[in-house]
Amino acid sequence: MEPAILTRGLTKRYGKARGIESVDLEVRRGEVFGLLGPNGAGKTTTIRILLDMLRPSAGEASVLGLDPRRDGPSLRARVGYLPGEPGLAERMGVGDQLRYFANLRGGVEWARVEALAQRLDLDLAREVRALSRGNKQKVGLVQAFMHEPDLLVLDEPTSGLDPLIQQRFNALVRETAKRGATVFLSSHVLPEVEALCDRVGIIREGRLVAVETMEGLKARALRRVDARFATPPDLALLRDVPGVLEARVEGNHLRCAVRGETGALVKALARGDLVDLRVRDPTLEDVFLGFYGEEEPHAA
Amino acid sequence: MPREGLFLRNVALKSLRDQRRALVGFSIGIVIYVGFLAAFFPTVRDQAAKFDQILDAYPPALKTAFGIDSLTTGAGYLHAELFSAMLPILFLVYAIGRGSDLIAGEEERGQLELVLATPLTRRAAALQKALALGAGLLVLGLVLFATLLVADLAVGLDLSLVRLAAEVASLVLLAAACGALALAAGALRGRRGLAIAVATAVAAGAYVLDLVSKLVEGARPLRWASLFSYYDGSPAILHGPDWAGLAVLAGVAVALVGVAVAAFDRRDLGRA
Repeated sequence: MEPAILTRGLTKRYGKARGIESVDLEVRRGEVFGLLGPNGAGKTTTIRILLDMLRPSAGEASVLGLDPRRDGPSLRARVGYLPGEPGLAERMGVGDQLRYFANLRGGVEWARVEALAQRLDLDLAREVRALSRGNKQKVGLVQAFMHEPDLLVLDEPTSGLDPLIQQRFNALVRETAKRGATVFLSSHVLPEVEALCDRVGIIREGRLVAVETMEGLKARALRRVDARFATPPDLALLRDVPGVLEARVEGNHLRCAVRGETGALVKALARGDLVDLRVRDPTLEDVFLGFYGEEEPHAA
Repeated sequence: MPREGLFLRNVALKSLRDQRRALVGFSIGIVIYVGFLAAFFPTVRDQAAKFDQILDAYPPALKTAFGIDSLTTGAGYLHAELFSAMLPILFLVYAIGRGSDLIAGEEERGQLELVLATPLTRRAAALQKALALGAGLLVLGLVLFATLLVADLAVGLDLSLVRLAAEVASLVLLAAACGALALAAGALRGRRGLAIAVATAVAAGAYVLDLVSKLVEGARPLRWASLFSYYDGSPAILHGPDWAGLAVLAGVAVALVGVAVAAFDRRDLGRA
């Protein structure tokens, strides 16, 4: 079966502003794929080309084996899409709004809409304009999932959702993948992607710079370590520990970053008079540094 | 089914639903303004001799410019007081306001993204928007027509139904052409402000050109270029239906809808 999403040399230029440049992406059927990158990196541009909202300047895209431009209607019938900013008609009830989108799709099973709304804790009886950002996001999510599409394309799906709803959303995504559908989502927050995705594409300044499995990504991401000792520690502790960056001693603290797993570092630190250890989850920037950061020569 | 289920069926009906407040507001405005002016007609008619004297003193150019033919017949009175300025302004404001909003306005608010994420084509969406605009104008036209019929019964305007219908039809078509221009400008660039500016400038320009060509002999050959001249060149309420004028207005409206549909299909959709 052809991949869920396949792009070759996909490029979008907006005058002088940056779009995306020669993106080659392959998302397999049935996987949960995260497009990770900072705001303005080209995530939304990539997504909107797949939905035929934007037309590429060069290159091509194939979605579920179809051409977004030529096969638009038959393709979009099988895709659920959550835009970055779900623009809703303000003077309308949530139920009416969803009924309208359902009608534009030729009708969907209403019980499913109700079930999704209940699951995400969305009140169908409310007016759209009275909704918070998070509740509007829920309306967007319900319309994306309501027709049980083969492919979900979700642009920053969890922005505005509170942690409880975020977990329910994660469960929904896992179920969706389990029934064989593909989920393609974008994010600028690593833990969010980590919780959901099988594979991750990293996009930066319009270029897809890496595609990795979640494990591969974690193996390379930088972790920030802050170790507190009883007395000022000696940097020589870190000798022979691979992948250590930016090591420095400040008072009783030894701070550094380590690429990938922390086991060797922890063992080395334990040789000193270690009191406390904190390891911070890698941020998006730490992921990038994991791929690009120049390794410093070993301290000692 | 939630209430209003009918108006959630497709883009055309939903867009008509979105116009409901504007339609009610403009309808009330039409009824009040037309009713108010009609109420004065008996006074004007009963003082016919005096008004004709006053009118005789007006410079002919002024009378031509402002569509004053005779204030003492119902048709002449309505043409001078309503159809030569106030009603076109009202209908054009509505048409340009809605026409610019239906595509460009919704696009700027990010509301088209989810609509176009459905299996609907861009062409179908634009065409349904145009139909909704036409339907809205038709509603206003019917409200105007009905109001004038009632006014006729109340104060005896002595109107010809055919002429009145043709006059209202040409007003609706003039508005449809200007609204379609706003729709097309919005479909081309996705900017509501720009669409309003373009359509308003063209409509005002057409009005001025029509006026000048009535007053200045040398400008007469240019009159064909004014959209307004196909509306008010030979007012139907005074002289009977101007079929050619109606055809030109309808043709321009249809052509501009075609431009809107084609343009919207071709370009990138803007963001909110």
